[in-house]
Amino acid sequence: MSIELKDISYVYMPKTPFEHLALDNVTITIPDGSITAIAGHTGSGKSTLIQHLNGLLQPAAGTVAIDGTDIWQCKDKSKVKAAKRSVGMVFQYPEHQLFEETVEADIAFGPKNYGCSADEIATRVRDAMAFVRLDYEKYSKRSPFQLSGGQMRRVAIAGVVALKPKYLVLDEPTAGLDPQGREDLLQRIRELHAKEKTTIVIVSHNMDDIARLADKVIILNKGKVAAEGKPADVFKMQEIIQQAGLEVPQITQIMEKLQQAGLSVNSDIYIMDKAVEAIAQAVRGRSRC
Amino acid sequence: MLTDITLGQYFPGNSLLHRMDARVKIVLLFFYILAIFVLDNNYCYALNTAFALAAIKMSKIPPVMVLKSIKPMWWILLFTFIIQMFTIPGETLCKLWIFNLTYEGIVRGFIIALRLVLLIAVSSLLMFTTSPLMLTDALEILFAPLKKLGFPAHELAMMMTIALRFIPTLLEETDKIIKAQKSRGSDIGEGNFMVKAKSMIPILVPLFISAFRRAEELAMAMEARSYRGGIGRTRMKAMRMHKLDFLAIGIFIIYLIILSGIRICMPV
Repeated sequence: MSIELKDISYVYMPKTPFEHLALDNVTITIPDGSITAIAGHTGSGKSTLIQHLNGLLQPAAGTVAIDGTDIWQCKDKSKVKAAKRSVGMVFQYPEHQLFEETVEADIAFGPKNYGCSADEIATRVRDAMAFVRLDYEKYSKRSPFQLSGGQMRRVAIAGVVALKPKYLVLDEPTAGLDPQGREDLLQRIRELHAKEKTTIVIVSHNMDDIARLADKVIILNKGKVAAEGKPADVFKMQEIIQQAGLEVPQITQIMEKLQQAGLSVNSDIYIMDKAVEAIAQAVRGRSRC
Repeated sequence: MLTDITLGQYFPGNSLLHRMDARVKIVLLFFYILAIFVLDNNYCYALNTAFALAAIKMSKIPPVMVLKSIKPMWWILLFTFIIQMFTIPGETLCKLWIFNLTYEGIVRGFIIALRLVLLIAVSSLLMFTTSPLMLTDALEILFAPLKKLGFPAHELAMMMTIALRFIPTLLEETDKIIKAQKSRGSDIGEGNFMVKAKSMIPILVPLFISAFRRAEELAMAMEARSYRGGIGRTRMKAMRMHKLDFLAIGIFIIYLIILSGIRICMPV
């Protein structure tokens, strides 16, 4: 099963002088069990696109199907609701949505809305807090507004993780975090994917993050899909990536430069370990000559 | 969608009216409204209507937009029309219970409704053709003489500018928060009053917090740039009157003279 968007178009402020076509005939598939990264420059339509994944925005044209349920055509209301609820959404700066008096209550907000039992809610809150590495005893009774920015973000993400979504969509989750927090968060996401088999959709313009995380990359440029495929294949399309206002991962750039300088390495490497290996091998090969 | 609103109604364009100095537009509008109400003469009304239509044509704003701006006033217009219809004494056309429908009443009601329509249409034209920033700047300059009496012209203009500036930002924020809470399964706008009111809390609390945060950041940013109120402050874009503005003023004065002439010579 998967989320399938077909020929999606979306227009902001139609029929005014401010009319703007944000998405132009976009067709993408989010395969089950994948980590899909959506990359694009500011204003490329990535935030608009992900809001179609759980039916927050209704496309002007095209269809959205979650696990085979067309959420705008299907007549069965409960089926549509269930389909929408299988997609958890973490917006940009999610800490701005906290509102409850305690961390515990805020994380419980979602599961409560979903109609979980009190016991179920309690376990979900504990699990979610453990997942984002917030000590339950220490933090559950605190006000979320007394926490640091990074901790607030973790509370907000826990609030979505507690919904146990089948698909988890994160819009720039690492924006504004320090390198340590960034690495931590990406690690958490990887773990969620491995342990809970959650399908991850991550929006980012940081290609290094994408290189380390994703097994599928979609590049958006001006509301259109510019490239789609495996990271290794997409990162090869340097021209398209640059046109979209992005840069290939730093490691790929280094490999490219080394290749130009005459070292016999592949330039389609984008993971640190592999790069080290390849360079070592190339250097060894050279010294032998 | 919530963010699909136009800020203050400004309708970007490059017509003669768009290019006019905002101060001139405000002053001319003031005298035009005065003319509508003071020069109560049927010929004057006809001329004023023609003037308004010409202005709309010149602004290149779709007439539908102008009509839309009148729409919210529709009930008030109807109400005044009906009241006038039955309360002005004169030649009775028909009797409804204790009310007399008079010919004079219908004419009077029509004229008063027309006045209101002109008033709204031309005022909205000012809003359509002037960006909010120009408008507040112009108001500040026009109210500057009142500073001597202690009227906080600059402060008011700054407050208006900031308020206008943050309307779209806060709407966007609201939209985002609603979506985020919806994604967490909150059913906003469903159920009875109490349920509805309760479902607003997850939206209002974050919204207030972010509004305060933004206010604090803005205050800090303004202070960092040594903002100390309006005293001795100069503008990056000084408002300057051009040929077009003097031409407009000239034409308008001639128009007013003609109107007054009609009013004096033909007292109908």
